[in-house]
Amino acid sequence: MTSTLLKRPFTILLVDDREENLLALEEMLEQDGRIFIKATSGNEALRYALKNDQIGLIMLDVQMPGMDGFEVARLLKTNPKTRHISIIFVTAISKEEQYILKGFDEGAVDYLQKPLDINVTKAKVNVFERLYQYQRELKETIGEVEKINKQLEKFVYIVAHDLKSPLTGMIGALSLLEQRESFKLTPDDVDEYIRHSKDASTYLSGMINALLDYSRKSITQQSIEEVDTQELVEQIARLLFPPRRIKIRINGRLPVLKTNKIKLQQVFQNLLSNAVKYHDKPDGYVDVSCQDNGDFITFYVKDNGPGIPMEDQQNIFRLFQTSVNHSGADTSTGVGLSILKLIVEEQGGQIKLESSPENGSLFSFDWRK
Amino acid sequence: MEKRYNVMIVEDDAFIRKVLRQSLHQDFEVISHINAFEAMDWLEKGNPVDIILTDLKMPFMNGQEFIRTIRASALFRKTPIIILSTFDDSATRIACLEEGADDYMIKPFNPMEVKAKIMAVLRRTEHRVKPSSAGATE
Repeated sequence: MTSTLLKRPFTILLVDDREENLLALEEMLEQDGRIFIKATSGNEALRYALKNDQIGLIMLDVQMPGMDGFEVARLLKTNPKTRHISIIFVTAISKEEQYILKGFDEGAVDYLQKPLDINVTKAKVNVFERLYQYQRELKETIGEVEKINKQLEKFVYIVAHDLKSPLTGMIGALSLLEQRESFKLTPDDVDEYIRHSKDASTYLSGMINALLDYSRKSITQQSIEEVDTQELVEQIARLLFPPRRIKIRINGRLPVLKTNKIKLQQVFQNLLSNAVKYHDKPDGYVDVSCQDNGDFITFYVKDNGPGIPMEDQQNIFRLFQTSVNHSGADTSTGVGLSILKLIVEEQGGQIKLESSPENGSLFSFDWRK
Repeated sequence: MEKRYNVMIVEDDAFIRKVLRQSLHQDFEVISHINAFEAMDWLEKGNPVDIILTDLKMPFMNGQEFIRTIRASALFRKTPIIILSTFDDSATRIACLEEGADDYMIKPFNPMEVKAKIMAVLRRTEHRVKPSSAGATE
């Protein structure tokens, strides 16, 4: 899990019927990253609390004309939208008030005694701010985990489906073999079904290995760092040792991003090595370029290779699908491109392919900045 | 010799196609196609087809679109359709049956069961399907 302790602004709602008290409080608590909202009545305070969902703490004067602080707090605690907001009562603490405060024992509620001691007030607000930041971080983490869970669910669904396909053939073939007499199988049929079942099992075993490999990678690859994509692509290009007839070129300057390096590397590595591996032209090129699209950078990997047949373009990102025209003894299990799709989609982008036998293939994918 | 029914298999996986053909060829005339486009082409050329056994997840035109196309055509809208798919969720099954499929089978399958299912569907749709094999004689 990413633990980027990014400090968010902390919004404090100050409530007091006297302007001068509000100003004094603000001055006391003023700090970088803090936003103050001021209300001079209970009604006004409730309105702000309902409207602004960023409020992390309410400093609430108890003695106010009209609706008093306790009443405001009771209303806040009954509304699901405001129930979670922390409250510090500012009070003179009479005997009666002490008794009422007990009623607020549950939930993030505290009190400060008038006249306010600067150091105690500052310290208390600091504690509440820290609490708020932790809660916020926790909430974000939960959101992230939920997103990953959904992704995983989808992934498992696709995987289960794609594992079933070779199994279907196998189980069908074995049933035929079992009843070879009634299905009138010739010795050639028998040989073919045995051979095919063996191939299918080997293939399934390969898929399982690729899956294990993928799950290992997704566990270890979560860290965010500064990545110079120009350098990254140059390095991958070097390590691919492309044949002399194929040039990998970068058009323009690729950006520096704060991102997950290993995942981005995986995408480029796959696209570039495929482009080189399947290249069939004597004067070949693979061009890498990019375009700024607001929240995303769109990267392009274009080659003048053989292109991908129309009938395969639709399936190429499906798990375990490999194009039929792969060269020679290539035993890729086809997990590659579908994992790229997952990697690109899990951060909100899209991966696309345009391809024709005349123009080669153009892969484009969005990467969040 | 009695008339034989024409079964059309639509399945993109070559091996599953072969297994299905082997499972059925003793009892039926079997023709198989790799996708729904080819299958539609075959139907539109006027070739006899008495029952269709089709996969759902296929390139270009998926099984559900295929059912819809067949049910919308004047000539084949009564042809029985059996789905043979790895999808085993009830939402997909309901969608297909509502679209006009006559039955639904789940992969992996037992060849004997596929055969029996085809027989059963033909039995209950007897009033709308008569064997139409061109090759067979009575």
